[in-house]
Amino acid sequence: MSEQRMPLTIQGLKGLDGGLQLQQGEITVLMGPNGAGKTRFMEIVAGMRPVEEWQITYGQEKLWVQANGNSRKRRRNSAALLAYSYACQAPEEQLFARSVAAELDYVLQAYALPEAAKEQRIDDALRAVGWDRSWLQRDPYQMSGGERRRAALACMFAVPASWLLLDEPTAGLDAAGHALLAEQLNQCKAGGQGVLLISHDSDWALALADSILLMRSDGRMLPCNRDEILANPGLLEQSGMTIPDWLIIVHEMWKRGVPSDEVWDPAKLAAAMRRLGIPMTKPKAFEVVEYQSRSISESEGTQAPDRLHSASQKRRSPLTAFDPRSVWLAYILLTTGMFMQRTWSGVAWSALLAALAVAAARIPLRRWRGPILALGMFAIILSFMAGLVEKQTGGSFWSWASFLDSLLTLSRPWLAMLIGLGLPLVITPLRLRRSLEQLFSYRGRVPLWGQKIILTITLLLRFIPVLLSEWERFSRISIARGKVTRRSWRGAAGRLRDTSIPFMLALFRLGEHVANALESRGVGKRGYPETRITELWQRRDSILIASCLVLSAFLWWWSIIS
Amino acid sequence: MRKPILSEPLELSDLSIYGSSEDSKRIIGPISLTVAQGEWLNLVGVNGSGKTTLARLLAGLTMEGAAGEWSRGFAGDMPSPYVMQQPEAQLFGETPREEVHFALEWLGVSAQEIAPRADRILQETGLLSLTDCTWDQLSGGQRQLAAVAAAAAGEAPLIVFDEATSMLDDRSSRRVQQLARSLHGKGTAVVWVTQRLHELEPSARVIAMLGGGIQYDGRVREFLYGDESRDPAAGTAPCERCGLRLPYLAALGVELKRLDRDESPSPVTVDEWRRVLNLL
Repeated sequence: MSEQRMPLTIQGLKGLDGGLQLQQGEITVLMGPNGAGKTRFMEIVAGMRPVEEWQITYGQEKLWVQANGNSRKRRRNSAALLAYSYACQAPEEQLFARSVAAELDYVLQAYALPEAAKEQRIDDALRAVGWDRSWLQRDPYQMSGGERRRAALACMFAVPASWLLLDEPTAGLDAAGHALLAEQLNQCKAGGQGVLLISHDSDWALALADSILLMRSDGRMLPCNRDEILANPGLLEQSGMTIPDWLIIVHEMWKRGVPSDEVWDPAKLAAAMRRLGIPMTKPKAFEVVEYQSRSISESEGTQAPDRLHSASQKRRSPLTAFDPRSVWLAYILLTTGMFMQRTWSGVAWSALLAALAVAAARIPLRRWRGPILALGMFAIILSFMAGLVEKQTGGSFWSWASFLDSLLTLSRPWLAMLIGLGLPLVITPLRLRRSLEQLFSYRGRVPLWGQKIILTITLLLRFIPVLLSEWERFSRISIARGKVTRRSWRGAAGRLRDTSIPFMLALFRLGEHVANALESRGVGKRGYPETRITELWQRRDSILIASCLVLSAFLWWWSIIS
Repeated sequence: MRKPILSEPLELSDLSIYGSSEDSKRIIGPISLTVAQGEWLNLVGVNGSGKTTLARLLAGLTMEGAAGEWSRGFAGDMPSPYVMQQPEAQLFGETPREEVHFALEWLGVSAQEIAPRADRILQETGLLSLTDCTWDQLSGGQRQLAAVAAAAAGEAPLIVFDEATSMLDDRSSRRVQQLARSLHGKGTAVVWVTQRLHELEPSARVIAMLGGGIQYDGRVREFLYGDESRDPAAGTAPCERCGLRLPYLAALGVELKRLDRDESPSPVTVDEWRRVLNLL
């Protein structure tokens, strides 16, 4: 399967000028603290996220190539996608077919194998997870969690790829599953496949590792090997991790002379310790050490938000410091002034004010790029049509006056929208809930049914971003599993299916978790909470209103004199 | 709301949960279990062993198809705070402060008291400098700390942590655990569901589930090594019988014991290992 060598090369990583090359026939373990972006790194390597500054190649195959005839647009190279097999975190969540056989068919279809070779791969994959062909007709939805994980791993092993990318494959797996997976990965390695592995089980993973990539919380990579970590466990601390307890003891034993290749397996270490005569003095009983409950100091890991290295770190909008009511009022004042404008000079003033407001409030317009562009295009097209319509009545082909007139009218709501995008920054769902409750309360109380409706609406708003990111995640993974690179109706329909089914299932799970969390907080069980006045009108709120009043008055004055 | 009876334990006797489909298969049970007030109870088991169902039962969440007797005793009639693996599903605000405010509101805390009490909780959880950061600015560990802060806000007699640390690295995991321990130190009973056996304290109580039933209920050291005074090196330890992978140090202890054929207890924590190996 992998007769030609296909090293995995990544160029353009921060701090690694020579680039990074991972070899086939080796297991590389990626380690790093939470939030360093290990999963993201693997998704980039799998072509699931486009990153401009990195060049990733599998052998000679670039992961991204230029699209035909368009030098700026890039598309995924199917030869590179076919070079790897990917198992995401909790890969069983990605299953959508109603039998193991159908699921295996799906992941193999892009490879167009001859029938005999395909059956051979299916046999091998089932054996890799300790199964036989009797499991082929089983329905993954009727399986236990552990069995579904095995079904998903079988799909990963079935693919005749040069590279295996595994993200936390052992989380939640039993002891037998750990042993089986380790054995299988060693076999893949011996067969010439390359393995890139993320795992929290440091003792399990280091026992397998031929080389190690340490990822620091700022995203920098340090390639090393396990002997270096054994000799200097502090490397893990420098990368923002803690040294696992077992590694502390193993390091000490290495210092006492245990050879480095005998420390990774507890049985080998025990034998070496006895061979070297390392003494042990066991007490009759260990005293019970009561846990010292000490106050947690701020310095232990929460002093500052973890900075993601993606450079898209958003700065907080100063608007959040204001009372939502004052922000609303300010918005209404400014937009009223804008809507009064009848001339292009007035619109220019409005545009200037809108730009200043966006800059001062640090409204992240990029996030809403789509709707902004769409509405802008819509305004231009509508104005264009207004210009053409003139032809029938006035007899001329084109009327600049009508075009500009419409554009002027339509540019005002567009500008109002730009500053309006700052409102959700301030009025978060829970703040919205309170203001709605204050609006509908009678003598400080809201009827229970009213509360339920308001809570449901605000929770829906709260979870829209979660749902969107789940959809995006499943959609990304479907690229890695389906290996579809060209845009076609069939491809799009297939992708929709293998995104939407796992998404719906994830939705049910999320719903159940949310219901549990709400119930455990006493929501719906206890009487309803007091409507409370949380927002206090402060001086800065008055200043905001006053300055917006001045600006609005200026716009009003301008609309009159021009 | 009935006041919790302080001295009475939480008790399940011969309790089973049946599935909702026609065949109404038994999901867990029959289980008999007592949790004392202020106790720390570890709950372990492989995926599908029923530990999450038992955890939800202990938290007092609504359960369909329950048969048997139970009494919530000291935990009271209201559901207990329940912290899950995924912070995303259990955070309702947009910042740690909003989250704690939301939690306190539903506990019926009076309006004037909410702000100072929230500040105190955020201080205790070490989140004070992050109170107004939105979730996307916080790491998974920090979000999980916020979920714990919201759960701790009610000063409930019992808190259930259902694999609250399994998505976290060692460092963040220790922070969450530390927080749970300080709540325990103030008298809160804790049910700690985990897959990370190396986090368990040797003298703590651990319940191991297998196939919906309780396979083991005893101390952690015996869970990892078997009852050493009775039959050294005979058979497998309860941990392995439950299909769980022995953590590295426990596996080392088992191997050394097999080589030495001794009966004295084996070390569990890194400090005990240091002592035994004279590394102090």
